[in-house]
Amino acid sequence: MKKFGKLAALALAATITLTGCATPKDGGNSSTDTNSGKDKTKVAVVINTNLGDKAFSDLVWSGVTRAAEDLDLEVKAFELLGDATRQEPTLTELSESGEWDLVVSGTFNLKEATQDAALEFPEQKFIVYDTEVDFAEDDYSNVVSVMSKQNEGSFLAGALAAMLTSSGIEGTNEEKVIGFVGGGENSAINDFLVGYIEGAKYVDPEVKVLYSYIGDFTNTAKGKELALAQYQQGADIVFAVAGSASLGALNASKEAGRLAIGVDQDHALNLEETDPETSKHIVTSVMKNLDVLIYDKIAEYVNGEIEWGKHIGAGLAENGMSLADNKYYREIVPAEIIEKVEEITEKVKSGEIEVPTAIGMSTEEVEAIKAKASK
Amino acid sequence: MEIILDSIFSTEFFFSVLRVATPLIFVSLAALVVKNGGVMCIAFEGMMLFSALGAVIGSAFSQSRLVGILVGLLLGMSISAIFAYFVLVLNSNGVLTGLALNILGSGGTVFMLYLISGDKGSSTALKSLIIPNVDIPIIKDIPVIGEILSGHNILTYVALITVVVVYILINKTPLGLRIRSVGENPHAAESVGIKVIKTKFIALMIGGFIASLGGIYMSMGYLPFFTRDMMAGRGFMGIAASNLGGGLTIPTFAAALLFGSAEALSNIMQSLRLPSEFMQMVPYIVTLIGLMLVGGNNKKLTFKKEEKNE
Repeated sequence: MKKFGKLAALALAATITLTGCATPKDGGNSSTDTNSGKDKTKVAVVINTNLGDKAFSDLVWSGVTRAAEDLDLEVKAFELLGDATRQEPTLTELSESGEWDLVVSGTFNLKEATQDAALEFPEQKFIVYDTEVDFAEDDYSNVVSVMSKQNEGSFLAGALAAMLTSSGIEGTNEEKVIGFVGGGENSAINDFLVGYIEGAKYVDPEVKVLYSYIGDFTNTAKGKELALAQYQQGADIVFAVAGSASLGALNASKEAGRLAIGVDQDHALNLEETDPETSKHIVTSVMKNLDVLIYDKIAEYVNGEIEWGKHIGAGLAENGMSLADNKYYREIVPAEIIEKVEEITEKVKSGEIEVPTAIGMSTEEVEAIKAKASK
Repeated sequence: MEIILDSIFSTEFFFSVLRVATPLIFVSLAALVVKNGGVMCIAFEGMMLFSALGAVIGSAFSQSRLVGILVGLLLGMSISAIFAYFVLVLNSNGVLTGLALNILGSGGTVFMLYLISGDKGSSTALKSLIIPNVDIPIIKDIPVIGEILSGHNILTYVALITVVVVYILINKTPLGLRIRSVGENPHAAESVGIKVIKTKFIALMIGGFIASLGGIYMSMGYLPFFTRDMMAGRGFMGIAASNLGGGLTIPTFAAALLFGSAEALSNIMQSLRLPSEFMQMVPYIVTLIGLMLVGGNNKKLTFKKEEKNE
């Protein structure tokens, strides 16, 4: 009997491990087209975390798969599952094999490993996303990098929130206070915050911006508590930039009967089916159009128009960022404010308004902007 | 300073303390029962993750809250059953087994979520049900107290009732006496005919049941969905609270409330521009200070015991 028990435990353990290795239904390590295609351009995509996160990684992958369909490419994703020890071997192997015409790799975490591989294999072409390659420091003539300027998208969110807080629409109060809930305190999140504060102050210098950090991107309940605390302190609209923990803050907006702004993906439309009540409180979402940027670069490569050795920071003008314009946005926001947001968008596009960025900024400068928030 | 005091001495703040403390009350009581049974179990985080996901999946597919709760309890308790089997029958190391089950909870729930909804981050694609908030008649009409105590989630009241139930179970029932005796001295208990393994198993399953309720609260009450790793250390804070309470019901409840207050305080203070890193530390500092005080007391107690023995 005891032996049987041990066997059963072993079998259980084996099942768990083995099912863990099963290939996922879609995405995963599957290529979209495996049969034939000798002349097809082959593209390898390195994903730092995993596909299926309904956020950043899926956004990248959707741009690649669309390119694969339209341009008839063979593409394959390599998921690193956030494991830093896999970075270098994966990139070296991909470059060394000579099998791939193009390697698409990205995020700040993979920057160094990709740069090293690019120097070691100058014949291999790379498209790097969501981070800036140090073109000034070395010869990266086989690389091009693209990045969305989150500060510009966030600037619009701040401007919109500042206008809404004194517009008197449903869900707002007398006080000129708006809120921001970030995941962790890092340069990307601070870039969002800096843009948000600047946007709000551009519209109305009297608007106060409350901001809190969850400390991680998973504690969804804390995201909710922080948003509720800000609503309690007079904020009527909270911008949540915290990965999946943002969902907690969005949930808080429904509970408090106030408003919220989502990030990365169109949260209002995502939640529409399962939680329509929450959608009604999500004014808009600040979206990174990384899929479009990657698609464009791959298309340029295929058509032979790509310019190597360059970084492209895509802001509002390059359609790298945008506010989600859906029916909730149209319903909640008064027409004259929509018009004003469009005006500001044009000004940022033309360069009339220059939005500061926290990336590359010193801590003191970031703190100085933050200090403005509560004045 | 004035804003800070206004924020703290408001009914909303005390209301939020109960809301934040609810999962901690559940886990700390679960840890307390298990601790009384003399088992060192740290697998609550994994149990809660599985029960939270189970509740979402169960209620989404059946569109019945009861089924959701049952599936949640089943998944959560199966983790405590696995723990019990490994530790009590196969004699494996409790800490390592607990650690393994917590990792299984973190990865396994995401894997299950992906198989079922095709999503690895959250369960918002599933239309799961929630357990509603309720107003309590009579109490809700009392000023101040009504605003603090009424209008909570049903599971918050279940947590408060569980405090009483656990108190009676541990202190007033034969089963409680057996659990305490196998925890205190298994050999003595065995010599008077108590089945030690069976009793410890029962204690673990009761613990699994209570902890699972905490998990269900997270995904059906506190929030209306499951997100990956959403427990974020609450399982461990519950263990700390039960240690702080010295394995006694009322002090454990008080410790859970204390941690809940610290957490709620840190949430409010952050947007009032105290350094965010510091405010994130507050709940843990309170835990550490609490454990230090208790540690000091325990030392004194053992000294006294030894003196008596001499």
